Amino acid sequence: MSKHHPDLVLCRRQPGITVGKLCERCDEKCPICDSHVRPTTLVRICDECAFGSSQDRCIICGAPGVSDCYYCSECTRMEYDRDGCPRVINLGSSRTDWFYERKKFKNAGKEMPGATY
Amino acid sequence: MSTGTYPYKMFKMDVTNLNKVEDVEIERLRAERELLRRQKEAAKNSSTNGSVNIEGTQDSNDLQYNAHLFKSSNPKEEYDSAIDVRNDISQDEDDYKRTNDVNDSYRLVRQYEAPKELLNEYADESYDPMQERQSKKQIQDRESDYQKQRYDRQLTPTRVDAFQPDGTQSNGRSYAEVMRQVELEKEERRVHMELNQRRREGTLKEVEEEESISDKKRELELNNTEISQKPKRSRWDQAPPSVTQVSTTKRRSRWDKAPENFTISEHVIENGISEDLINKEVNVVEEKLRPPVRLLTEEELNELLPSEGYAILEPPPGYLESIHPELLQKGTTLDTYHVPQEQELPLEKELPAALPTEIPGVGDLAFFKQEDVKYFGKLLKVEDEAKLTIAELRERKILRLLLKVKNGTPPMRKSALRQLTDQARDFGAAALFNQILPLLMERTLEDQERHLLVKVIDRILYKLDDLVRPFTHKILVVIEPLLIDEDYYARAEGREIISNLAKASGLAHMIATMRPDIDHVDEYVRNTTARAFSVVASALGVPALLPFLKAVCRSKKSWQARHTGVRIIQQIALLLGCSILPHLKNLVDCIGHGLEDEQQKVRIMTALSLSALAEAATPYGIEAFDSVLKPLWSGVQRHRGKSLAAFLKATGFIIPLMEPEYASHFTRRIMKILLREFNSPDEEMKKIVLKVVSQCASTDGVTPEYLRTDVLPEFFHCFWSRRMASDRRSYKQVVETTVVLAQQVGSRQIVERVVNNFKDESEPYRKMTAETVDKVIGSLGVSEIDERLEELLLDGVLFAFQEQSVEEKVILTCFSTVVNALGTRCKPYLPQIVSTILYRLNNKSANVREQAADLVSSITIVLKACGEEALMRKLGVVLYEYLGEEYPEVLGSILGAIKAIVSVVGMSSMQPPIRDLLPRLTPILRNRHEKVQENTIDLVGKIADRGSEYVSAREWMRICFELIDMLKAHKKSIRRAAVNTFGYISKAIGPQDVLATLLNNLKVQERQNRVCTTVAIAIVAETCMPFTVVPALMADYRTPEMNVQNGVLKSLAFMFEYIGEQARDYVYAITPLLADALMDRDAVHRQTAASVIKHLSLGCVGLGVEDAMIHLLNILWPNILEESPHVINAVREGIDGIRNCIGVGPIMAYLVQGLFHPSRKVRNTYWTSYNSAYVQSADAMVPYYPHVDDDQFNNYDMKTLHICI
Repeated sequence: MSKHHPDLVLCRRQPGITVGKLCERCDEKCPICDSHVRPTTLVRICDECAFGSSQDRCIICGAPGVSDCYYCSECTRMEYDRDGCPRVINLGSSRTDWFYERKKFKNAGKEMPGATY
Repeated sequence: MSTGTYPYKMFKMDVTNLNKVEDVEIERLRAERELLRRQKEAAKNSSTNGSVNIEGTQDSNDLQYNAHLFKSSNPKEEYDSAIDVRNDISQDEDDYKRTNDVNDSYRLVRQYEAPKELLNEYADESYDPMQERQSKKQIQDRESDYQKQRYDRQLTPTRVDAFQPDGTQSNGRSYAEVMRQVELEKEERRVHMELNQRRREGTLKEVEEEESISDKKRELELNNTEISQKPKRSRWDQAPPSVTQVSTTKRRSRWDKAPENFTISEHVIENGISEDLINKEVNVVEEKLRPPVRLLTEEELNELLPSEGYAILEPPPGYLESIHPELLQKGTTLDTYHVPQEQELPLEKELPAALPTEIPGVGDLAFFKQEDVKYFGKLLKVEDEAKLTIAELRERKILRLLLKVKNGTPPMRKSALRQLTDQARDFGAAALFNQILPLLMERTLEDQERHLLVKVIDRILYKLDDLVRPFTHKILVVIEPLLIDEDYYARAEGREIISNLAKASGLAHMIATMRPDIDHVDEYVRNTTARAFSVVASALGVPALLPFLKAVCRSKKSWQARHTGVRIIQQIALLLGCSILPHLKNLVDCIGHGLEDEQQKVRIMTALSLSALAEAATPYGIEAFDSVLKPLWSGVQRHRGKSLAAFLKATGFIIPLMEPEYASHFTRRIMKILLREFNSPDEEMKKIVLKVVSQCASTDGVTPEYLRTDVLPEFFHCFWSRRMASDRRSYKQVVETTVVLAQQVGSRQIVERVVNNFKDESEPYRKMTAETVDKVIGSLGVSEIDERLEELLLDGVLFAFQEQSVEEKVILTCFSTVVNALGTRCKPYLPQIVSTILYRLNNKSANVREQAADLVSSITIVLKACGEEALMRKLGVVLYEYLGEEYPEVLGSILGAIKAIVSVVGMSSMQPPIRDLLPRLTPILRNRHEKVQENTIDLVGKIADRGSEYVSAREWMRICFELIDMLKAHKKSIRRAAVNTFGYISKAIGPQDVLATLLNNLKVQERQNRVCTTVAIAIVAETCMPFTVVPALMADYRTPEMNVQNGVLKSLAFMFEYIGEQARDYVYAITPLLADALMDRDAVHRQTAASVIKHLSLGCVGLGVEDAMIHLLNILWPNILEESPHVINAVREGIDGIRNCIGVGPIMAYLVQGLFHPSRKVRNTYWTSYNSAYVQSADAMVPYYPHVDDDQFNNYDMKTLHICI
């Protein structure tokens, strides 16, 4: 996800044994490059990201997780799978901006045109 | 006319007759009314009590009947609009009035005009239909009273930065001064409380009060601090002070002073900001806009009104001239009023409404509000910029940028934000914050405006770094309220800002700034400060803050400090989660003694903090809690009410951490108390008891036997009631606890007890039952459930499903869970279920139909398992017939049901046959509703994948054209499904036709559409082998059109990503095209080419195409100095890809050229690439390091390796 949203901050602590999850929406995505093609290496996340409120949550967007997350073959080849825990730990400006934009529309009693996040 | 009386005649009579009858009717009514009035009068004369009964007469019956019929639609019309002054109004008089009103609704003469309610619709001019919406927009309208306390806070004066490197002290308040003021405030509060106390007791002498206040005043003024004096409540037994008295008191009001010409920002620098200051500023600015208010003189009135027909009334006795003498006084200072001349009129009229839409130097804004005037008023005045000082110019510039950010259109906002960020250090912290922070204190701020301003602060914090120190407290005052906002996004934003602030200004300064607020008199301030402190702890590390926290939690001076200290630790636990584990022991030790504090509030807070710590630490860390177990347990035994709840909560959270035998021991002991509290009427206590029960039950040490005999009966007795189901929160808690209990005692025990509730008359109760059964059976299965219970269960669920008044998901999911869990055991009940579904599919209500269709899709697997394929075919045919459904939600569900049936039954034996079904779906593809789109595309994709042979190629092409439009869908899953379907179709009918359609689509304008097309092309290439696609793509690249060429490159990029190692066969074919693309003038072209190279090279690692890669590298390399972020990223990735393909050695040769370049910009880019190479293959780089000769200081020996090479 960090490819298309450069302001997202990844956790990057030492990964533990827990497998990272993805939600329905983000299913099959590579956490680094958003590719849907040839998932290869299983994603491991750090202990802090595996417990508490973030347990079993999507490591990209925080929605309830449904499937395991994989690095794609290209990111594996480039060894991006060894850079630490890839969970996104902030919201990112595009998402907050979108939220407030939508809220503005909601307050005005209209549906927001365009994509739902 | 009364249709109630003559319904039949109405229909039979012609028009002339109708008129006649109408006249007769009117005549009759008039007679009736006359009669009634006479009766009334007679009754009144005979008895003043009004006890005469006219209700029994024929007329009154008639009237009442009419009144019943003609009851006006607006109940307000019947209300008295004024309170009658006479008390002796009798009942029948009232009645009379009402009947009279009713009679008014009859037409006495035939007249035709608009109905009354329509005529009166706009009578109330002050009614604004948009008012409600308008008010909902602002933040303050959704805030609780507690949250609104933020407006009481002050932006305190700027503080000294004690950590300035050069040691110079800027002018601002020091830590000592701030502490002194806090002490004063505390003392003031104490005096107030004592005064109130004594007043209540009646031991207060008034002289004392006067003196003490004036004493305080003197003291305050001596200290040169300003504390807003809160107005005292007047005493009820004293006469209100007269006007003259008020004017003689020595209150130092700002209103008394003549208005100075000053700005908010200047004032803020010296004194901080408070509410009345802002109001004053409004006044100064607005006065210029507002027409002067003044009483009219007699001459003016004569001019305005006609001189005849009006008389001047004497003022009633006792009328006071004016209650606001100062208002009048103010009015007389203004110019005298004159009646406006003809030519002036239009101008006058426009003035009050005129809010500028275009500000000089800013351009067109999205909006400009009245409240903005007081902050941006300066920009409204056009001044000669040449005459302004530099500081003023800078201020105007900042104002302009802020206004653009706050009120501008998105592109405007973006550029203004960037300018503010880039020039933040030039503007300086003071100039920026003095404008931004007062804006954030504005009451009428809306969510988005606040978000944007907070974003500005966030960006400039990065840039200003330690320059923010003097403003730390002000920023905190503004940002802290975000931490208790109801929006998650606002809280997250607040946390981010505070953690950035902490990193920028350092721990020591943060502590110095926030220390005075820790034992602030105001609970609100302490609460928000605690939250802010926890954010600081998470940003700078808990160990750094621990010594301070320890000191605060042991404060002897004030219990408030201890309370806040404990609360900080609670918040830290909530915020950090399991990462508190390393510090757990220290944190628990820090607050442990608080369990035996003398203040009850501290004890409660300590217990809550311990529970938060234990929750965060689960399942580890029981050792850390050893020291508090004893006081906790004794507390549980000793306390009652609120503190007992807190202590129970803490124990409940610690029990799951314990060893099984301890846990069991504790559970047994605590259960006695819990069982006692089961009957507590307190809602909060109930919730905590439920939580603790579920925690105790889930520990290993508790035996099911114990739970079954001792806990379950009492639990069901106390908590399974309709009342619990009606409250949302307790409902959830009950369900959760029941599920946990079920996991210990087995599903049978629970289901047996609740199954009868399915037939309860209360719907929430039925839902609670359904949710519980759903969760219990979902997790434990049905193995324990015998035949009788099974029967009861299905019967109950079916009943609840049919009896829903509001269709919600709960019962539906419960139904499908039960049916799926029972599996083949369902067989006897299936005909009944299916007939219910068929019946409900025909229902009038759309929701019922939707649910029925949803149910079909969730039970198809069971239907198949039970061998009921005939039933399914029947369902399929029925659903097929319902494809004409108009409600999109229902249609989507029906399509989903068909999809489920198709995937279970199989393409070959599907009824209706696929060749009939698919043509019916083609027009539905055009539906714009997302649910419909998603389900259709899934169904079509499934058919294309598995049953394409049942449909003609022409039909598939038709679908292809429809699918192109799907690529525009907002929802990503739809686009992906569409793209995948292209792959299936091309596999079915061959790639040529599909590819032609797709390549044509590259010419369209819309970017997203093109991107999706490129993906589709890549997928076609993957499914039908690349050689069918690559020639066509390369041929298309020759089209001299930017969009097409880019599209081709993009498809190539996706294609190489998809096909991976197959790319090796196409490397040499594609190289010339890429070389051409890399030399294009357009940056996007080169960027896309670079990403093609990335995917290509990563696909061919170790496959012997190094020569081609080096060729491409040579052409790619010059782009390394590109500046646009997207392009340079793509280029770097391309180089990284090639590096993986050809090894790091050759790349080093390129890199070394620029690593020590005299220009920093060049060096930077080269080092960035070098770093990424180093991360991946540091060892492989060593042999390629350049040979450097030894000098007199260093020895750069590499001999062994050199020999190797």
